[in-house]
Amino acid sequence: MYNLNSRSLDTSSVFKNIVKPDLIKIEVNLVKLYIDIEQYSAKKLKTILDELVQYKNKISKEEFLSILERAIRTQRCEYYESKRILGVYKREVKIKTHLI
Amino acid sequence: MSNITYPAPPRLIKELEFKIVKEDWFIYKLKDGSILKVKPVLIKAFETDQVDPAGKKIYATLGQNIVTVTSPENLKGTPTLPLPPPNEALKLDKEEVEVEHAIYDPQWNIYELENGEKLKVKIVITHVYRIKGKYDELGNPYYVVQFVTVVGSSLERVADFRISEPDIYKYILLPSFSPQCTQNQSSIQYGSSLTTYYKWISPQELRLPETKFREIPIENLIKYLTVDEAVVKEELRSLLKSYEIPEEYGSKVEVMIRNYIKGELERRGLPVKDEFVEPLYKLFIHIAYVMLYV
Repeated sequence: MYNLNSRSLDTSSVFKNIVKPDLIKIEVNLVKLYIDIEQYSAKKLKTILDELVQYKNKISKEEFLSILERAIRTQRCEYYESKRILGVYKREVKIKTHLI
Repeated sequence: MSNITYPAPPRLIKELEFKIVKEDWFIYKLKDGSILKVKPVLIKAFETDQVDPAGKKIYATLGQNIVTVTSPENLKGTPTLPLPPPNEALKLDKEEVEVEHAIYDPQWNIYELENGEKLKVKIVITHVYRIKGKYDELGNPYYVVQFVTVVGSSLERVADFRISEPDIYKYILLPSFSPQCTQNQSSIQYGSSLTTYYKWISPQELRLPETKFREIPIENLIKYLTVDEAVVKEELRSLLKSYEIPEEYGSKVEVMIRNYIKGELERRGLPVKDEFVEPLYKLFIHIAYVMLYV
């Protein structure tokens, strides 16, 4: 069994690897990005895919792009308002998606 | 209280999201029979670059008090619109009306900030004036209500709250807010539970966020279905940079999005093939880029 008293543990190197504020900040920013894209890109993707479902049996490699184009053209115009806060700067982004 | 010196306004460093824990009306019966309802509403909360002597963060808040009145028939009159702003109205012929008693006192309206701290807001009415010969849309007399708003940041420190000086109010009237409003105040207040200073400043003093409008014409979206991969990579790189995420995380994000698209295709019984995922991925990145890149 390892005897803790036999030598002092150099914890500094351990913590240096564990506690990295930059990494935490990056992870937080990644989560922010995921939340934002979930709200906009993912939401729009889902409505487009829902539209594609009716062409399920017709989808082929050759036809896919034209079917996808048709699905996009059926999308309604939507208006979003969103706030993004980055670092010390506050930027409000009002998003209008013109999808008619 | 007159010896209090106010510090320089703090610099706002971050807007904080918050959720309502409790937001209620303070209801009073006035001696003339009117029922006065006031609701202090927190609109925005900011972290500032200042801390109080105990090291606690000082928050800046933007709030608005919603005021409404219901008067007995004998006090009502013909509407006299537009109503003057409160500071102008106070120069007119007026009568001070005392508060008889509080019908309902919710004590504090409480908000939970994204960092877990709680902000508490309450009001204390100091004066109520009924402006003679002025009536709102519903015929209720026009009242100007003076009150102080108390903001604190900790539930445990109620006793440490200080009340702002009434003479440093700045009124901003929003006449179209509600037909029953006799007066609305809009102000920014800053302070925390342990500080001895609170001050009201106008919203104009707040550095409001930059606003941008984004639009994605449908033809652009369609064009992006076949756009070169390098363009998509560049958009993703810019997006990551905008979120202060290092470039090397790009592949992680790419994989996450592709898997997400595959999952959505699968869920709908659509074919999960690379040639189908690819244009959808381009679409996904382009929407994210246009909408979120700052």
